[in-house]
Amino acid sequence: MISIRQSTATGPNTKLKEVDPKKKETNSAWLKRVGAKNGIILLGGATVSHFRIRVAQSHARGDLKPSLWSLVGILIDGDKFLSVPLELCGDASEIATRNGVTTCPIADYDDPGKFPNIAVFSLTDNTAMISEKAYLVAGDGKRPAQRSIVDLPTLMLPWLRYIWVAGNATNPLSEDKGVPSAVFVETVYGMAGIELTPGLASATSCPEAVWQAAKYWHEFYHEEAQQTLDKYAKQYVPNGWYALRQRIAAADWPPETT
Amino acid sequence: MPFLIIPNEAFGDVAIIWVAAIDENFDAATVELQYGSNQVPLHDNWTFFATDDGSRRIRYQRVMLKNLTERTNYPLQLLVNGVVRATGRVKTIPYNLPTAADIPFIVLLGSCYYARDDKAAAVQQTYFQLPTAAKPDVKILCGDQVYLDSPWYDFLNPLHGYNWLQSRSFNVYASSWGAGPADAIRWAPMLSDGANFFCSDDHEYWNNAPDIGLDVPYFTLTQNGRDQWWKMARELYTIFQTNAGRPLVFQVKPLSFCIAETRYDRGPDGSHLMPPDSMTAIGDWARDLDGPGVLVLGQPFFEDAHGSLGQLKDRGLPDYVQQYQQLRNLLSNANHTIVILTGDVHFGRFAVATLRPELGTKLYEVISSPLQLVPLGGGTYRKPPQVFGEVDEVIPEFSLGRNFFLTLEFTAPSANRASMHIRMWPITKDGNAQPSQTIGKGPIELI
Repeated sequence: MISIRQSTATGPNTKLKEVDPKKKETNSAWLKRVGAKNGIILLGGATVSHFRIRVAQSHARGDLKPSLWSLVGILIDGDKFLSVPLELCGDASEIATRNGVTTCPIADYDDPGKFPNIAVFSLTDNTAMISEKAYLVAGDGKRPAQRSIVDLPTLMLPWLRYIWVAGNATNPLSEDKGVPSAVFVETVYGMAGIELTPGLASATSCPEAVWQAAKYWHEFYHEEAQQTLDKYAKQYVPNGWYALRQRIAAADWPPETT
Repeated sequence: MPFLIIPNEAFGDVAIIWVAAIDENFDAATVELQYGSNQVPLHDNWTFFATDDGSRRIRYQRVMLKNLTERTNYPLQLLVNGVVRATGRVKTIPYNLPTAADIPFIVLLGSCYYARDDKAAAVQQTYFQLPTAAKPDVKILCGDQVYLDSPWYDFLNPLHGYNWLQSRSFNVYASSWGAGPADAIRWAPMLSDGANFFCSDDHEYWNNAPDIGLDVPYFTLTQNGRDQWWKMARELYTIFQTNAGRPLVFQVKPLSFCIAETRYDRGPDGSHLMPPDSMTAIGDWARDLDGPGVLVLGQPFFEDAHGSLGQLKDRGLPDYVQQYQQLRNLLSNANHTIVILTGDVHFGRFAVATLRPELGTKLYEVISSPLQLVPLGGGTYRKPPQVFGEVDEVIPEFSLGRNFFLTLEFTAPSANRASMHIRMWPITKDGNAQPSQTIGKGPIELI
């Protein structure tokens, strides 16, 4: 169990609304329907690797159940998001060059069978500052990525080891090593002055903690919104939507054919 | 160099600069302090002090520079009759901690400097050899900046009286502050370079002050002897180091600092560490924190009480039972993580306890000692005692009998949190810069 503070709120954030997906509706179609173009995107996957990440985050839940989520990113328009996925493809040297950050097309996460859970919410309208900070971490072609801000490839290694069960495959969260995608998003929002996981140390950030912040820390964000410093992004209580097709974690993708 | 500049505290738009002339005659109407492209006349407000035997004298003042720009370097020059007689530098602090992408706000932490044995001026060499990116914004020197009571054999002559003691104490300060012969300059250039936040410990007075000092019995055995020395040393501390008083609180948001004297107003026989209103001020600071806190004390908080024999030798904070308990309670009420910075014990230690489990807050203690070990200073490492629930070493002993100082690099991972990265800088032994060592696994998040 990792140390996580519980919100003192007496109920969930009503500005985060459940919008059921239509039958066979893809994630991109769902995103279009709710009208989300930016903010934070959460995905819960059903592959073995995503299932294992969801299970690992049970340490951050009071009920010790697997998380609904396995990946978090920054939606930069309706079609793609910045994140640090553990699916490796392309040139390996890109990982170091871009500090592990990848521009992920939503199309790659469209299949509701593979990614049954999705949420999107926003905390600020200052998307320019969020983008600026994100590219500071990831590099933008003109400036190199700044691994001194947060070294994401170093975090990816223990997570890859864990999902592959290779070598010392202990749960990285129990060693204060956050899920890389969450640490990335948390760092970017932190640099913009927005606390993404008030209940958890940044180093142990994970999609579950981001979800809990959006769902249960609305009173905290309400207070923060009153006292934002000029140099930071003006923030507000998280508002957005979510759809849950798989409430109980299962590694059921790809479907068995026999 | 009998004219001196040593910056005291610096804040976002204000800096306090100590300027002094030791054993110098000068026309005050011709004195001015230049800071950056500005200047301020120092025609008035000089305070005069002379030793009772008339052998040494000082004129000094603390100049408050206002309307400065945050986190900006100001070169300092003291001009007398148009001639530069002393130089220095002060850097204002930022109002807010830098983000992770920026240069951190860096605090140097050091204590226990026995100038007499720093013959090669190794401490200032180490300081000036710091890489540019590691240079501190401010220095916190948390006690024993001078040893007025060492070496012990200087105090064996029963014919030495108060005048000798006062004159000797003045000489120790003057020499250490850079007013001695050029070949005896030790760390004074380092003091002149950047702001200094001072707090005192026993050797600003004598070992185990204000109680009997076993190493200086002729001067401390009687109440009258102790009273005389105490009054004189307190005055010199105020003249040379800082205007001691209530805890000094300032912010580099979201971080809040509180520098608290636990020696300057200490009472005899374990009665009290500080006046009640100072303790109240610490309580107010801890209670009102809206981000992590840094509390500077002259002695470790994670310490066992000494037995009656131990108290004869050296009292620590827990030997002041009532106020120590009060301090424990005040810290326990804080809503944020607190880092205690301290020295005194001649070893380095980094320890942690849980402050409020329901908030996930911690109580850290960082010990940085010594800058230059006093002879027979011991320094055997002690693990942190279990005086605040479970107290753990963050890392095992790291000082290993070396002279060193620490730098603490603070950034803001978000608007409400701070990140602290501690590095140890061993003092050079051969003039060559030593590699630094990260203390712990790397940056630690303070919530």
